[in-house]
Amino acid sequence: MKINKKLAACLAFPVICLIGLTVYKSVKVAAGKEIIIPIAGYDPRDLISGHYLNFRLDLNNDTICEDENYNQPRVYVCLRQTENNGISSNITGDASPEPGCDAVLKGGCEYGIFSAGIERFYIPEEYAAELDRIIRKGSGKVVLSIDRKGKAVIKDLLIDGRPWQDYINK
Amino acid sequence: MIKINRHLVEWMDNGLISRDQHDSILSYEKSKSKGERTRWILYGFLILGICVLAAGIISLIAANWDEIPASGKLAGNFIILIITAAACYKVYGGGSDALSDALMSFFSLLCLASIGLISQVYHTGGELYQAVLLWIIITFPLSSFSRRDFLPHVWSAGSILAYLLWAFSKSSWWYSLDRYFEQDIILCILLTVPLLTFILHMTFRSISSLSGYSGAFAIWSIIASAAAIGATDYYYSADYSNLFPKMLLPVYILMVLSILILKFLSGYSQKERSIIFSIIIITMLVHLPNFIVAVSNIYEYGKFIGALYTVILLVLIGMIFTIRENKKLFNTIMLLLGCRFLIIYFQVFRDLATTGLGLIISGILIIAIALLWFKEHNRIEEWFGEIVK
Repeated sequence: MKINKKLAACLAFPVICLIGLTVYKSVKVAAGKEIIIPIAGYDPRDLISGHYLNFRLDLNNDTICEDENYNQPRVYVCLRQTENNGISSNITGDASPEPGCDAVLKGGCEYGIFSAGIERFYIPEEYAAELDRIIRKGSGKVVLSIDRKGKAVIKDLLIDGRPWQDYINK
Repeated sequence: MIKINRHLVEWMDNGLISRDQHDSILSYEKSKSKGERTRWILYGFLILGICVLAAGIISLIAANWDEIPASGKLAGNFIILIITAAACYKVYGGGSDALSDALMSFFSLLCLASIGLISQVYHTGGELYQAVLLWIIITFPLSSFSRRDFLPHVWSAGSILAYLLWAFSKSSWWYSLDRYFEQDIILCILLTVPLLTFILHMTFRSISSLSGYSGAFAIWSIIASAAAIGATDYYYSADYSNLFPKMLLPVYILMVLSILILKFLSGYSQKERSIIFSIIIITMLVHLPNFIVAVSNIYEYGKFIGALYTVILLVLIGMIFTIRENKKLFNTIMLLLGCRFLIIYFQVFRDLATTGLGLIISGILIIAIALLWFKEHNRIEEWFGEIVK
């Protein structure tokens, strides 16, 4: 059979790109600094990827997006893990951690609300309503992996301190 | 077939061909078109089936099967992807264009489903336009292998969708101007689409290996132009304009680019280029007063401006279809023109008597202009041609 190199390359290209994307995401999840943050949220639906929780990070600090940061597209927040997976935070200048910071999270402020671009957690359709209800009661936390540039990826969702799948199965 | 039959009968009646020649040509055309008809029907159903199948797979993924661990989902996805890629390679050039295109379409849509799955597994928080943009980038090289034009059409639709999703997202330049996407911004975004698709159409046309995309973007350019004309008419019919120069800047930049491309890239007859050039210039002129504060209150008469703009542009587009001898589309344009005239009079006069009088005067004007055009069109076309040369 005559080998059509061009066609083979064009078929391999998307597969290689998608495998590369998967590897990149896996490395980001595995290699970053782990930190746990409380959340509050609601449940919309994504056309391609399905149901997800749309939440807001509860950083225990109402001043992050005040005054000159009210609509600031880029802010850095120093995070400190406290007892019982609580969190305390303050604004910092850049992604380099200050002394006492467990991690620095990069995000932005829009109309006084902080967002790190990760406020989405995909959940199975059949659990959407229940998880949404639980999160709204304030029982939810997310486990983030944050790299040295302040970019975060989500590792897991915790309900009452346990992975959400364990909570649902119980 | 009906067209050929009509021509053959006419030629036979005028003694150009004999009865035997008429019968043998007809018989040949029937056998050819029967095979072709069967093939494009099969092609259509195959593509429909593929799209429905792919939509089902995306839906299954979107249900997010918790029972399967993330690593299992990803492994299964890549196995299916690789098997499909191998099948595409095997079938390509094997004689069945329809099967080859159907498999490639399936593979292409599987890539989109894979992006959705990766997004779901890793909870990526990106915007939808980023997913579509990634999809069009990774499937672009493969689309050029499509035997018919289905994949380039899907790809072009995806690229327009990615643009519109970006334009209406918080990441877009437009959002920095107006966070509520009011009708001023919506009009500006809609005006950019026909220009962008026209530029892409002309660019792809000039690259022979990518000419399949050119046709797809030409169709989108026509559809987007109709939407932009309608949006402009509707916007100015409110008798005011809230546009400011910064909003229109991308539109004007694209207009200038379109004119340059029209001038330096070949592909249309001089007549057609003259008409397209006129369409762009008239559109520039309609929005120009927004740049000049002293005359921006001209839009207090926006109803007339909107109507006049629509009428003139429909006439110009009708001329293009005349040149291309596309009677159906030309008649469609004439119908739209007639409807727009009716709407003008109801907008302005509101009662039937004055409307009737106005329509009679308009009808006489139209006939006079048509006769004048018929008499002097060569001179007018030459004048336009000199400008575009």
